Amino acid sequence: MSPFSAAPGPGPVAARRRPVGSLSGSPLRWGVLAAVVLVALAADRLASGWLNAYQLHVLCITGIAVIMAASLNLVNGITGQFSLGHAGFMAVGAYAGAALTVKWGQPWAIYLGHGTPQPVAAAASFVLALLVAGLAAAGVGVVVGMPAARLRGDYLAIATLGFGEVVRELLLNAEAVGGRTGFGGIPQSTSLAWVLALAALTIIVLRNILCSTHGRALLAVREDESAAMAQGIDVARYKVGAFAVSAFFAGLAGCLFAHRFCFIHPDNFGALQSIEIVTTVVLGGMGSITGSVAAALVLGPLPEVLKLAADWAERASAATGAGATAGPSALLAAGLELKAHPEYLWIVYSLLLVGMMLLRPQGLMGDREVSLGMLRRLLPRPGGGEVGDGR
Amino acid sequence: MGAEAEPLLQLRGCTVTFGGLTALSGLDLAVPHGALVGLIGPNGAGKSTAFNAITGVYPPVAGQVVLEGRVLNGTPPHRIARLGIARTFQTVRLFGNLSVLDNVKCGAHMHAGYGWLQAVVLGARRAAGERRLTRKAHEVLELVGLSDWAQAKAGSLPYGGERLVEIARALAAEPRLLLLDEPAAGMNPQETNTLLGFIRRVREALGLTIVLIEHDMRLVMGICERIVVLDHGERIAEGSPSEVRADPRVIAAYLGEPTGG
Amino acid sequence: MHGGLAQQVVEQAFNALFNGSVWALIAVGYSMVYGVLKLINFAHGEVFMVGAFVGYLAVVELHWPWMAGLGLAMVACPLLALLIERAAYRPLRAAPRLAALITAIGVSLLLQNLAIRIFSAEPKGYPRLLSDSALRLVIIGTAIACTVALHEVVHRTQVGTAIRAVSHDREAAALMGINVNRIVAIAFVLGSAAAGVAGVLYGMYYNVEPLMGFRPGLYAFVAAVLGGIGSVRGAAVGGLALGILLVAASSIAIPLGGEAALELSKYKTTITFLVLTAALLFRPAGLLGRGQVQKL
Repeated sequence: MSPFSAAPGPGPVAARRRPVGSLSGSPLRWGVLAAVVLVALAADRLASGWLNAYQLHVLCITGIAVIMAASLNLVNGITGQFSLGHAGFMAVGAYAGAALTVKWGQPWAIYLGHGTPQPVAAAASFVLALLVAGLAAAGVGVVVGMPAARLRGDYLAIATLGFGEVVRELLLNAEAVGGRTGFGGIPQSTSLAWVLALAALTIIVLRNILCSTHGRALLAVREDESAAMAQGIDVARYKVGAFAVSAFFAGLAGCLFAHRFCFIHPDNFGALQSIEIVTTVVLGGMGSITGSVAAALVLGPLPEVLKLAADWAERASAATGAGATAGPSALLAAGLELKAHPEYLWIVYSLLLVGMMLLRPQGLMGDREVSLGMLRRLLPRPGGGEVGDGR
Repeated sequence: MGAEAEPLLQLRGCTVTFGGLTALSGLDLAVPHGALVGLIGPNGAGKSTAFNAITGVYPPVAGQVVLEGRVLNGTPPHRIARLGIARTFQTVRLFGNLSVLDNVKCGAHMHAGYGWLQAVVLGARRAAGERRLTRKAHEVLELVGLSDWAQAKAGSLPYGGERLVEIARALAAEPRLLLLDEPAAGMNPQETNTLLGFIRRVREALGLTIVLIEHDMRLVMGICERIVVLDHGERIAEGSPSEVRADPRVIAAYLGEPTGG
Repeated sequence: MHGGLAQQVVEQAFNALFNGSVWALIAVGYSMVYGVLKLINFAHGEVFMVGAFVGYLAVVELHWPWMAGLGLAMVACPLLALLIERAAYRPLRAAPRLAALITAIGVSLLLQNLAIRIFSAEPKGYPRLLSDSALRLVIIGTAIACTVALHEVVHRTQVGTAIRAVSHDREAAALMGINVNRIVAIAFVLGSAAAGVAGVLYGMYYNVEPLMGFRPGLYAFVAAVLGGIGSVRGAAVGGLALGILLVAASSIAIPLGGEAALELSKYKTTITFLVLTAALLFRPAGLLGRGQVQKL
């Protein structure tokens, strides 16, 4: 008995087929994380056998990109706060974690007793560095989030862009961590296992937040702040919370980054990097964590892939000598062009941004998540027909 | 009368200004427990502003908003909502990209009973909280007759449906006081009748106090026990429907003529 | 010694005016576009950069006199801005503001990297056409002239009134018969002509390189907000204020005990963004703006 008369347009059954909010699905249990950790350790073992160091490196970079994109989505996509300074939080985490490791060494070896095997002490130290990195970044996230909560749209974007530049300037002046010359001597604690495990952790935590009442509250803040307040949602606190959680994971990613490259410089975390992450989130679909992950899997390795193509072209043309052609000449020419001009990567990003907004602003996944339910619906069912079919 | 006649909600001399414009001027209003009060007046009389003053969106520059003896001035809107005041808006403000069910669950957010940490770590408290919210949301949707639409995107509903979702969302908060801002806007007479019956039923079933802004006189006269008439931010008349209908000041306000002898 | 200090003060004052003028000229563009579209034109800094390159090419490749280069920039930059507006912003006029913002970022990135592709990232210098002080005077004079001219246009002409109408309420202006598309185009033209001028003169003083628009663009935006975004006078006042503020701050060194000192000159970006945050939080209408109360 519906109080409104049969209005023109699709009825409830057809309406069910329309895209639903992104909260279909249940939270991910911690068993998943445990399983992933095991898989990660196994993958690491296997991979070091099958893949060379460079390929492992690219996988690590991609995993870090996944963490950055997914965490940014919490602020940009889900809470609707357009932040352009995510790399700044990564910088805080990178420098905090690296400073701890380099300046303090491995205190856990002492605290846990002299008999502690080296790998355990190293892992414990790294966990500490990660925690410190994440918490430091989260703290900065709170500081940034508070004024940011009062800003709107365009202004917030510029203010967060400015924040990223401020972090860069402060780090350039910070002689204690290297300043203009950068910060080196960081042990390479990051392995594929760590990256996989932390990426899984990020996804699980974000997913669990998203399909809880607090995730719905963040979405409400995005949709209509006044209406959200009327439901008892403290909009400012939720915005700050989103910044803090997102910054925490960016800090983790930063720490992973520092302990992978073993040398960091403030220019690693500038406006360009923030825009790179924003492009990933936009491509994947703002509001969809699955989308961010998928987009990061594509865009993360892209710089390296382009570099490979460029190197191949260079080698190929050198091998055949000038004038002769090996393979499709257009491809070769493109590769050489790429080698000479690395800025093409950024031209691709910029065209992606503009193109997506003009053609498909919702990105790959819109604001939908992949869920078991969705997967089940996609598979053919015995007996035919979907639930809700047939009028 | 004794202390038991203390109204649920009181506005005492409320004045709300925007820059140079005075939207409410020394407004006095008393809403008894369990009452169904209609708030009417010509356009721009300050009715929605009164709602915004009550819910803390526009704090009064003078006067007080009092809920069961507690002064609400300066309390932020989200806190006021948690004190038991729910509202709908003049133009429907749904969370359009979320499903109808999620919209209503948002309404019940304040009763979820678990924090961010529990949300992440999972466990009994979160599961119980979510079950509670889901059950409440389904109950309320059942009440408004929108159970079939639970999974639909809220923005995809016809206009009348959207209004109902908004009411459902407000009810999910289990409020003591429900403020409805033009719930019948855009509805045809048949829909308005159904809405009328619905409001009556809901009020009895849930023991609500309701204040209703409306332009549709049939709805207002048909359902409200008391009516307050605003014009230019002031209360110009108050009483039962028949009293108000016959009041020359009210007629003049709507017709725009100066009150004659 | 006395002369030395006086000379230093004059020098610093000149710097403040010079920087302030550059930022004011760019800020005018931000203000005008924000006024009519409520959009921060992220690509505006790159219009400034293109102006600088156009002037450079005119002088170095075509061997034109520098004023002709300036004139060419005043033509080229509006054309570029119109192209951007047509291709990237207008299709999204009805879309959520976020889409236009993201597009603007994309356009900015595209222009920067196209410039790198075409011209390489190396800075290029103009031949020495004017002495430093003459150049500074030219910039300050140009900024004053431009600001006055634009102010007159906005407040004394019919076009200007239309611009102000669209800034106030786009729909109402359209209903009153104003051709909104045309007004938006005019706003872009005026703003980018100013930015192009700033680019040529800045390039002549320093040098020309593809990423030169980023920092001045950011600072100019802060200047626009500081003065009151949407206002031509505000852009000028904001630019001047920021210029003076940064020059004054640069001369401060806070002693930290022993030999160490906190030299504020190394923290220009930080100071600028603190100014921005303070302005946005405490006086969002800017130094010259009037608080606008809106009924929800």
